[in-house]
Amino acid sequence: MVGTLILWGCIIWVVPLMYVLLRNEAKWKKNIVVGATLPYEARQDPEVESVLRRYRRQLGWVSLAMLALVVPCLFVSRFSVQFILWSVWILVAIVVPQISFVLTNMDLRRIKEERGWHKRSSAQVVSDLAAAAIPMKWISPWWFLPPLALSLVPLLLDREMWVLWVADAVLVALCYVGYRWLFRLRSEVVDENTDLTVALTRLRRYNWGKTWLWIAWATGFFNLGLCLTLEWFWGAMAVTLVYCVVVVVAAIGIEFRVRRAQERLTADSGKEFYVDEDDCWIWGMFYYNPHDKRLVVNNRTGVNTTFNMAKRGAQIFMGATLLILLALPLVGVWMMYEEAIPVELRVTEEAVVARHSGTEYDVPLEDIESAQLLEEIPASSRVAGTAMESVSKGRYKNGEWGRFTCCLDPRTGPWLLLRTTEGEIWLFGASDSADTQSAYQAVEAAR
Amino acid sequence: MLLQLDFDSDIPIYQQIRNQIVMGIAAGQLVPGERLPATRALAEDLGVNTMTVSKAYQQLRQEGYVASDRRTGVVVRQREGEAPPVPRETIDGLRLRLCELRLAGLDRAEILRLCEKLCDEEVR
Repeated sequence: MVGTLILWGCIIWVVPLMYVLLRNEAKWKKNIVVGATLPYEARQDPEVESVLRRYRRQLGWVSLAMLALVVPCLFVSRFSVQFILWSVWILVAIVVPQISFVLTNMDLRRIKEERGWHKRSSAQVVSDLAAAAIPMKWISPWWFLPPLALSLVPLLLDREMWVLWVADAVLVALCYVGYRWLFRLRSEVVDENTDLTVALTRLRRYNWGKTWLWIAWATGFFNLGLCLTLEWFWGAMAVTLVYCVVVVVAAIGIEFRVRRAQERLTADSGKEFYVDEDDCWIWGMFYYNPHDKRLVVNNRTGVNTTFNMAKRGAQIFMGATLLILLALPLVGVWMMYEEAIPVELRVTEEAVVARHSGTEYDVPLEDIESAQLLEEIPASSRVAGTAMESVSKGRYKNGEWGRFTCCLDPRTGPWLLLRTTEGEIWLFGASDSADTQSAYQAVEAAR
Repeated sequence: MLLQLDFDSDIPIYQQIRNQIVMGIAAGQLVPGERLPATRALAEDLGVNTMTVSKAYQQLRQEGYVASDRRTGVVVRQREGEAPPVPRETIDGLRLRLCELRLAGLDRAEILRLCEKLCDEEVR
């Protein structure tokens, strides 16, 4: 049950997050509401107001339904089935609230057409020369070096897990790459007011750098915290939880601060000339502009960026992301298959052979120095391999033996511990305890 | 000053950039000494190729509307002393428009009145 709660606890926050983000879209920012650009007069239009009220209500009900769906899932006992439900639920929790957004966006665009508020085509682009002339002051890469150095400290403390520490350090380095190359240097033109454009442009640029610097520092501390608590499961879990909370809270906090500022700064905009790029935004959500030569574009509100779907690179990236998300439930199917297969253990004329699914471990009899039958296994942590209810296989480690290789069914005992002349340690245990017993006897007889 | 490009127009993009900057200078929206965005910055802002902006700036430089150097970038040129001669293409273009107005049925007085009206609008 604890595993189940952790599994769902990792993702359940998606629902309130989607709710607050999407609900915030119903507030006017840069003359845009729920992805539709409308003039100032639309803010008092009764039909627009009614559509927005319905949107907020729909979001509330959808979010409640998503949370209610989790309750029956908690009582499913098999982990693989649980994982399938979990992965399907993520997709549903992300997609369904967006449907409300799309439907509302379509409603608003219909009203826009009916009222004659639609003026521009996707073939038009507006730029403010004064704002475009402001040079971007990029944060120096030196600011990203302290968190990078921090993330490399674990290499001095624990050489065994160097792959993990280096991978985390690469993540910190990628924060600078993301900051520098996932941003579009474009002025935030809303209307003819250059001062407003300059203020909005500076606001976005400053907060974009701040977000990435926050994430870089949080990742650096996470790496160090993980290194210090790796042997203690709950400590490592707590560090991971704190890291996720810090990153999400920092990113969302900055996003909302920017949105609030955009809302405040453009509260009086849209009375005369205003920029309308709706024709470039499919459903107010996906940017598609074949005239735009750039791959990365800034979202119209907030601080985030997105891709120009008219570019081949963006189509490949989004397609691959979608495929990965849709394939996630298939991992659960594979887990069901793995769970169903028993762990086999037998002794041939030459070796002890443990097998599970497509994995096989052979220990030559002549190399075995000692064999021992264990009734209990010391608490161990996985280095690389599989850890499921019905099977543990791969490289593990614990304080008593150090690193060892195992292939066993943790639900049944006893387990066969083999030590070789070369100092290797192997731990085997068949799903059928009788097989483990007879393997032990065969090994003893052969020695 | 706002630059508005229309990708559906028959007028090439670099020409639209050039024309609007010239109109901005004439209307006083761009004053002498005012810095224009760097070529790459404007291309990034508009989502067009750097070469397109470069071509527009090159034409503006040749026509004497802007000046550029490595330190200051591209700036609107201060018109000192004698104004540069009107380019031949502009005179030829004006002649063509006059012919079109005559063929459209306007007489000399009507053409001059129209020109005066347009000049007044520009000054405003």
